[in-house]
Amino acid sequence: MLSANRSQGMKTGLSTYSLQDTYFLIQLDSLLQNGIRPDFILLHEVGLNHRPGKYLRFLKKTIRQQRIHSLSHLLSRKQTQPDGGHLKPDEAAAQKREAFLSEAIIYKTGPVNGVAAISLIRSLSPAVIVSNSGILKAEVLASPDIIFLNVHASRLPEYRGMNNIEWALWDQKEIWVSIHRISREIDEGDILWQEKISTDNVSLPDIEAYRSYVFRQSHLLTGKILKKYLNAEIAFVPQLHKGEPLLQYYTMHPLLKARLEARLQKGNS
Amino acid sequence: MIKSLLRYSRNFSTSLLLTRQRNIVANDFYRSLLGPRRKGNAVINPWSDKTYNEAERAAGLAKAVDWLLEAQKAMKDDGFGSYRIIGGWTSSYVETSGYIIPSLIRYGTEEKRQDITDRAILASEWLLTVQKPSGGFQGECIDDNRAEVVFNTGQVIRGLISAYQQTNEKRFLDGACKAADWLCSIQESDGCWKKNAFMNVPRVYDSYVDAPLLLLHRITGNPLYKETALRNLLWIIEKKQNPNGWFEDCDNTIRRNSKPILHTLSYTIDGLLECGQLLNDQRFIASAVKAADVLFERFNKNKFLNGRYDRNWKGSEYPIVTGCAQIAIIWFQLFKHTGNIQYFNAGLKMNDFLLYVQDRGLNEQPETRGAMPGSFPIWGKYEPFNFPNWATKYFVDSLLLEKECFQLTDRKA
Repeated sequence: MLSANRSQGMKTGLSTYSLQDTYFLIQLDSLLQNGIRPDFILLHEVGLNHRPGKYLRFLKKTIRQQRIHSLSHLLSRKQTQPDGGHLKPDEAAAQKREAFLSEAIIYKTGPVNGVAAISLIRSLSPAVIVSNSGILKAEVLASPDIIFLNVHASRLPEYRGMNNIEWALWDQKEIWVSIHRISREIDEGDILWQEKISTDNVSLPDIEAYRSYVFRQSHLLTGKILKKYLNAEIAFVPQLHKGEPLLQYYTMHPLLKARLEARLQKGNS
Repeated sequence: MIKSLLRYSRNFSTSLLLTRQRNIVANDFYRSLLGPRRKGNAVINPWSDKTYNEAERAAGLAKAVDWLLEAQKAMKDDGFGSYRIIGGWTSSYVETSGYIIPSLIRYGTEEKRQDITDRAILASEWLLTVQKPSGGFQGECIDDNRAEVVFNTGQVIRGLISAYQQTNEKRFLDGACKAADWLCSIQESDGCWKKNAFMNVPRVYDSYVDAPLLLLHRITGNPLYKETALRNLLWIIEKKQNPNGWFEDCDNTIRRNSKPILHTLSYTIDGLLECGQLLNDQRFIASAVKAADVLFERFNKNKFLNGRYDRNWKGSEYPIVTGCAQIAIIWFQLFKHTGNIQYFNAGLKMNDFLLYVQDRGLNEQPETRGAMPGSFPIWGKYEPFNFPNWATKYFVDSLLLEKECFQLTDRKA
C-alpha cells in the first residue's frame, strides 16, 4: 500500500493508552481504509507517578525502537469491537488492521506528558499525530511543526469540554463533529473539519447508544479528513470566541443525566 | 496570632474531652484529612464522590429547616441563635434572624406547613421590638447590645418585607420603612456607607443592602430608596470592581481586606445581580456575572471553592460553607436569568458538597443535627467549631432554589 503521507514525505502517527481502545481501532481502520499507514504508534501508560526517576528509566527504554507486539500475540488477544458491539464488525477492516499492527512500530512511552514521551515525539518529528491521549500539557505541544489532531463531538466552539453529546441532546441541538488541532486551552485549537452527524433513521434509545454511535461516526472520519489535509485540499481555520469560560462544558450532574435519559426514552416511545 | 492559637488549642482540647464534640471533630478529621482525595474530571468534590438523589436532597432540606427551628426554640426570645460546639447557644443574632424569615416563609408555604410560617412571623414581631429609635438594627447578637449597623439593618428589612407580604400587616412595612429611612439618611454623598458601617469602613457587600431597599421601593414607590440604592451600586461598580471582576473593600475585616472571604464576595455578587434584575439594568448584572463566572470556572476546575480569594482570584483557606451555598444560589439565579444549564449543573454539584458536609453520619443531638458548620472541616478559619445559623439559612435557600430550577427544566421539557 502506498500511503499518501509517505508519498509526500510527511510522517504520521497515532497515540493511544491501549491498543484495544475502541476509538483508536476505529481511527486506525479509517486511516488504513484511506490509504494512510501511520509511521508509528505511541502507546502511553497510565497510572504512573510523575517522578523524574521513573521518567528517566522510560527514557532509557525508549531510546531504541521497540516493537512490542508480535502478530501471534495480537491474534491471541481478545479483540474489542470498535463500535462497542453497536454495528456489525467489518471483517476486512479487521484483517487489514491486524496485518498492519503485526509490523507496526509501536513505542511504549510512559506517561503522555512525561519527559520520555516528549523526547521521543521530538526525535520522531512527525507532521501529524492523531491523538487519543487525553489532555496534553504545554511541553508536549511546544513543537510548532507537530500537529496533534483531536476528534471532538461538537461544532466547536460550541460544547467545549466534557459530555458534549449529552449537552447537545439536552439543548435539543444537532450533533456535530470537529476535527481540530490540540492547543494549550481545551478544545480551542484551529479547526480542520466540521460535519453534522446525522442520527436520522438510527435507533438510539439512550445516552450510551448516542455516545457510542456518534463517537464511532466521528472517529471514522479521521482517515478521510487526514488524507484531504495531507493532499493539501483543506487547511486549519482558527476558532472564534476563545477563552470564554461558559463555552467550556463540564460533566453532567447525574440528576440532569437521569432527566435527559427519561426524555430520550419518552421521545422513542 | 497568639490569641487565635490559644483559642484553637482550647477548642481542640475541649472537644477531645467531650464525647459529642469529639465525634463531630473526629468525623471531619476523617472526612477531610484521612479519607481518599479525589481527582479528575468526573469527581464531584475532592472529599466525596457521593451524589444525592432527590429524596436525599429533600431530607437534607427538611433537616436543615428543623435545625433552624431548633435555633429559635433555644432562644429566650423569638430570634435565631447559633450553636458553638464549645460554649453552646449564642443569643439571637439580629441580622440573620431578619434574613432567615423569607427562607422559612418560603419553605412553610411550599410544604404547606403553617407552623413554620408562624414561627417566621414570630421572629418578625420580635425584630420590631428590638428596632432602635433611629430605625436601625444593632450588629451581632442581641446580648452584645451593639449600635446600629447598616448591613445588618438591610437584612432585617428583608425579613420585615417578607412578613408584610405574608400577613399584609402594616406594622411590618412601617418597621421596614423606618429602617430604610435611617439607611437613606446616613449614606455618604459618594454613595457608600461609612458611618454605622461595620468597623466604620465602607464595604462593597452593601449591595446586599441595596436589594431590600429596591424591593421596598417597589412596594412603597418611595423614590428615595431607589436613589440611595442606585448611588451605592454605582459606587461599587465604578470605583471598587477590578477589570477581572474582583472587588476591593469586600472583606468584613480590615486586616485581611486584600483577601476577602467567599461569604462577603457572594453577598456583593448576589446584591448586584438582584439589583440588576430589579432595575433591569445590565451594568449591575454584568458586574455580578463577571465575578460569578470566575468562581464558576474555579469551582469546575478544582471541584471546590476556597474560603478566601485575593485580587488575582488566587484561593486560600478551607471552604466556607455559607459562601459555598451563597455562590450556588447565585448560579441558580443566573440559570434562571440566562437559561444556561451550566450554571444549574455547577449549583447541583455545589449542593452535593453541602449535603456531604451536612451528612455527618453521626447520631447527633438536636443542637447540631441538620446544621451546617462555618467551615469544612469544622476547624477552618471562618467561624471555627461553630454552626452559625446563616450557614444553614443559605443552605436551605440553595436547596429551595435548586428545586425551583428543576421545576423550570421539567416544565420546559
